[in-house]
Amino acid sequence: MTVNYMWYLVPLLIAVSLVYAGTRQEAMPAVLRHGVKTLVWIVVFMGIIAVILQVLDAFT
Amino acid sequence: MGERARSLTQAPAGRRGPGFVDEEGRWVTLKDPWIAAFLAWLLPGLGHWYQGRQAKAILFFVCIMGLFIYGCYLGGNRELGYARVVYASFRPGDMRLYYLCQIGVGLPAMPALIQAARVRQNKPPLWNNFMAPPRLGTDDDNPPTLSRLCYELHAYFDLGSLYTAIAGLLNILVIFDAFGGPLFPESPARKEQEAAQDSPSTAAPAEASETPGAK
Repeated sequence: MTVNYMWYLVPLLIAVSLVYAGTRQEAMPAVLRHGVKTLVWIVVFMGIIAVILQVLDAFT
Repeated sequence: MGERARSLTQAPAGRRGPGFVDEEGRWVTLKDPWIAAFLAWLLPGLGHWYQGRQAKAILFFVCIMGLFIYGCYLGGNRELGYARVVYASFRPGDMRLYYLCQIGVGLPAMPALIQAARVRQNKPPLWNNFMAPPRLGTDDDNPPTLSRLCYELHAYFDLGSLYTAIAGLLNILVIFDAFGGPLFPESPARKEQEAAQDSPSTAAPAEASETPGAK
């Protein structure tokens, strides 16, 4: 069975978001809220980069 | 930057040592920040546990050690030995710069130093090559060479390296948090609160300087 390597990004994103949020907030509810925001921000940012790379690839 | 500096104040009456006020207005003491930072490096979350910040200690331990252990699992197998992506090697032809990041998790990455010292002394690695540096050369004997590790593990060698290196880098953030407290983001409510706190101290010198001019 082959696994899409993109799935390995998921635990990495969750851990990075939570740890980063943990260094910006103290109370646990605030850490979780900040973690979700960071996760969304990273996914959107990487999505934009992926779209740019796809567009560049289409024209080269 | 400024936010952390403002939040790090002396303890209120009855409390000792450096600390800060959290989002809910509670005083959080950092105890001895240097000891906390050292413990945070030694084992992810241990510095926060020492400071009594148990929830964050568990969060950091689970996230960072989860990444590190999963990376060790991906970067090895029963035949080659586990955690083959965590090794200390600074020899010509095999400069393992990843280890400079991986050592950020502290004690869990230390077996690599023991294995590297044994290999330097021409002794066989311990523990079924756990965290042992690959053998230099081109022939495939035991312990395996780096090229054989990459061939056998495919992309999992890179994935395991990435997971373990990011775990070490994340723990550096955690060490700073244990040392100096969280770097709270700037918020309008917090700015207003601090401006209100600062105003009595700034208003007095301003009035004093204006008084001679008025005369």
